Amino acid sequence: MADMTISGEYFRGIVKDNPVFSLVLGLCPVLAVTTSVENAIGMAGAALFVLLGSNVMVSALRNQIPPITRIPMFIIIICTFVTIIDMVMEAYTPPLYKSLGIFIPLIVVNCIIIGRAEAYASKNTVKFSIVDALGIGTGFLIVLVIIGAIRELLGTGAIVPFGFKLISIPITPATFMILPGGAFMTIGVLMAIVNYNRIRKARKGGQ
Amino acid sequence: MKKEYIMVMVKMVAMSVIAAVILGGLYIPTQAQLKIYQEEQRQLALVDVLPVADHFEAVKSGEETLYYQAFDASNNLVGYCFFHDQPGSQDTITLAGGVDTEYTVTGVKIMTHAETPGLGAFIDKLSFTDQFKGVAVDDLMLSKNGGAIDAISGATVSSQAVIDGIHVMIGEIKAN
Repeated sequence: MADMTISGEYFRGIVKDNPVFSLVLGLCPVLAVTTSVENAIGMAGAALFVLLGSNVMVSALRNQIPPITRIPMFIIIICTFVTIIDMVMEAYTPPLYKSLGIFIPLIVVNCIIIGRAEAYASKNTVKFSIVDALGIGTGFLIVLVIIGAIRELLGTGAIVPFGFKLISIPITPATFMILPGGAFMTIGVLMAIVNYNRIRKARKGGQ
Repeated sequence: MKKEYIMVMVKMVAMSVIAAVILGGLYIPTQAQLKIYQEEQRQLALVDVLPVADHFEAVKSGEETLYYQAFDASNNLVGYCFFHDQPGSQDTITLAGGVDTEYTVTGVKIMTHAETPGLGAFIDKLSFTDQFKGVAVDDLMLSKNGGAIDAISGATVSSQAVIDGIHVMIGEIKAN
């Protein structure tokens, strides 16, 4: 793969291989924690940290890891980073930790992370694995923040990340948007828009 | 045994040991920070369960704090506060409670619990804990037993555990 560039790999993670809209991975935390922008940033930050750590370790050790036990070894690496972020968040950001709840420990089984370890980091150099982790992590962050913003705005009438009021609209809050149903609807509509554009682009390219 | 399998095992063990060492090293500072946070939460909880109090004094037996005596601004004893670990239906429920000098409950707050989500987990909701305010010790039972506290439907054990916990502590305060 001689044609890989750093910026190309970075933006591939955001656009072409966007973890949520293209790879359709890690939907469980996407649906569950995007009740507010603050939660979305916290979740994406934790996922980015684990992704970066596991990608670096897996690609650095890729010639040492025996193929037959690669999955358990990936899991050990991922678990270590998840436990680190779990303990740090519990100690230093207790309210955020409380609202993210079980979804921080569940990053261990998040398919984005093991997927990137298996599909990318175990075959590429450390340098490109870092770029890949940053790209995928940013893609995940953008999607989570968009969904979180839509749900928080429509569900509570204002977006208030970290105690700072960003925007508010004079509507009757639709509590439904904060509940799981709102998550499914938001992600469904967004995915439809993304796929519509993608198909249109592909048709144009074909003609 | 083939040599390569031994290598695989050595690598797995080595990796696990490294991971354990890193996590062990991180556990100590984060736990210390967590203790500070929990202590802050406890101080806030004391005020929550007995709002008329101005300051608190721990009643100790050796190193262990049994309960707190609460005083108002002019140093009159206005009641008692306590933390208590009571076995719930799933795991220990840690609750904070306050009573006045007549042992009428002034407030209850659930600090930590691991009750069933959707059922027993509702014990930490205000709709449950606010029922305890102003309930005399004699009425402190579930309404099906003639008391003043409505149990959460489907979670009698969790509800009863909170009540039992308060009774245990009132008994302890009386005994001391």
